[in-house]
Amino acid sequence: MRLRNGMLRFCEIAGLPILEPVVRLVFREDPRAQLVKLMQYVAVPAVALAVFLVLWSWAARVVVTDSVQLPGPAATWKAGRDLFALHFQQRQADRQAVQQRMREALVLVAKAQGLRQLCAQRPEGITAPEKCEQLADQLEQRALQIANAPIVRAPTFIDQIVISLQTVFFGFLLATAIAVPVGILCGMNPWISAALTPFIQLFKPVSPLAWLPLAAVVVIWAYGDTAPHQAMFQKSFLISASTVALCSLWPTLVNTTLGVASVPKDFLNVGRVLKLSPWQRLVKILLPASLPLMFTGLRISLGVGWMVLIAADMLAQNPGLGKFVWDEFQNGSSLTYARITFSVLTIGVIGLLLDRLMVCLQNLAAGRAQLAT
Amino acid sequence: MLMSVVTEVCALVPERVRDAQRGQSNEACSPALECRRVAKRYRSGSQQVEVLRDIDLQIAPGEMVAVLGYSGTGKTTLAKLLAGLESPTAGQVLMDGQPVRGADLTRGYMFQNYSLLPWMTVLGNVQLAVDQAFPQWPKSRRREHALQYIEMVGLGHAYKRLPSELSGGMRQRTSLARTLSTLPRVLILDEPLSALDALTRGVLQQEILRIWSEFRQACVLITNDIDEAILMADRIVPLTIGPAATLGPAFTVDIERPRTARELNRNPQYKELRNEIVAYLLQQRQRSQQSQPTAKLPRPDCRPQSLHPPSYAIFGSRWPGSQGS
Repeated sequence: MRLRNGMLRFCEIAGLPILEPVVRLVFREDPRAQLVKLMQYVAVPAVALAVFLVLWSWAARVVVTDSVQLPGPAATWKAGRDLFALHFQQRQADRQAVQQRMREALVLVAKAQGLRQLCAQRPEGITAPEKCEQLADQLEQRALQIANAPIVRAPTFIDQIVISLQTVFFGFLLATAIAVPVGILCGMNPWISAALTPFIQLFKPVSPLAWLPLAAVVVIWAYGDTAPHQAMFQKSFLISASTVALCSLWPTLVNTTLGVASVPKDFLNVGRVLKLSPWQRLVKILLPASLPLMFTGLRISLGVGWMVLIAADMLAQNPGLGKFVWDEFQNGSSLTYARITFSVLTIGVIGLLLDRLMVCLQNLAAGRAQLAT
Repeated sequence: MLMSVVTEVCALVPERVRDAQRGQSNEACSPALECRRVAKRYRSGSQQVEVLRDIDLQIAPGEMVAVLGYSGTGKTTLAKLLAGLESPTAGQVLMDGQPVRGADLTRGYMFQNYSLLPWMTVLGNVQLAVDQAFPQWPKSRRREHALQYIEMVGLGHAYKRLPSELSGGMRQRTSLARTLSTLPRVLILDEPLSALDALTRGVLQQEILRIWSEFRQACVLITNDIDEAILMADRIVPLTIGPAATLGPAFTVDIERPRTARELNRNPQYKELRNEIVAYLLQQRQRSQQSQPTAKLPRPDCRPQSLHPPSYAIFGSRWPGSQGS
């Protein structure tokens, strides 16, 4: 029973109602009702998906010009499999390249050691012993260079997914780090709120495409004197991430403000009766009470961030999914459109997963702060 | 019996007795909590609403005073003024002769709707108060102290639960534990039991009385229940009907403690007192209804000419002025 309740609670928090009838079926609860639910959650979407695939195939046969054609489901699937296969091939090649280099480096190190031994054993045959040492050092340095040199190659599809995720999370964290404190200040103090509201209203509707050049100016200014290999991040990465941050800031900011400002007066009165210090009031009352709204904001923010990222990647030429789509479009090979369609689906799936993740966090936060009354 | 307790307490504090002799108070010693000509108005200008006017109230140490009134008369406002959650527009609220500035832990305030923090357990809620009241204690002692009060209100088995997992009565017990755990010198109970069902209310009334009789703080009980007031209080002060409510004449409850609801029902003194209070409150209500201008408009001096509608309205196809088709 405990297990059952735990699993049901998991379904609820994870936002996976689809699993609930399965759990109940396993525990033999009213099978008819569960089957009806399974129909609703599994069978109906499956039918809808089938209808969609049929329509898609039909459209792929109709939308054809001399040069291009809308890729059908099969072509898209094949393109996707090829992309993944390419990635693993590349990985294999990378591993081989690394092994090759390591071998070279080891050979060099062995040579250097042999040289040193030679010099040490027969000092009388060597005319210039200091030169011997010098040569050995040079060999060792060369070995180090070869072993540590980065492998330069175009990122594969999966690399690009990883970079996109890194960019979006970096931007999202940046946005959260700004929006939550500012939101709390706005919520606590109507004067600060009055000062910032015009800016929020003004900048909230601005599109990422408009922000991007300005973000680029700031990043380039900040990185003006730094050599490329010294920089912690690539410029294009920072430009993309800061554009994401600028666009995904607002939902969190507005929701946090609202959450903090609408904490029930009774809770604040408890704080006053107990003489809580401002810090304790924040930690013990304001934050827990406003968590659900804050997490709603964060969820929207991450969604916006992911949407913005694709456009930002395209413009900033940050090696992510957006750039992948753009490059394919510029390429114009026979595979172009199938690959683009596949990345559209990938972007959708990742967006969905990110949203599910945030739903989980949101449910957890709401569960903790669920109101007593 | 009560008076002897009061005089004993006062004898320990000579300056209080002096104060009492100077003041107009007819209590045996100076009040623990006092309102002097307190008024509370909200908003300003033409929209101004006067909730309370000329409130004079003195609560002696160890005394329980019930403030009794219809709902909406400003009882909660009065409680908040006493607690320091609101400040009076005119007059003064004094505690031990010192003006009250803001809420603090010497006056325990019990909220009408429990106001437990829903993300904390019973222990968490009580310990938050204990941590604030006794920061100098080591952590283990504060926890023990909090648990002791939770035990006292009969929630020892449920200290790990969240408020959402408690019944209304249990929530109010938690609230009581939180209020008492800070060892306040004055208790202000703002309709503590009005949200509970009658049975739970009866149990908790006894519980509060039992605990209060151990500590004997000065206590203000805000209530709209006459029986509760008589059962619990030494003195009942009715609040007149607002706007601009003020306190009516006090009724002293001379029934010996400990009182139980069952005994009270047979007590002739109780019946008499109850009738007096009910009569006073009814009279108040009547007076307020009379004093309020009723919006009666004079009837216009005309009659309808005919009750028969003209025939075209029912049968005719055309209205006057419409183009027939």
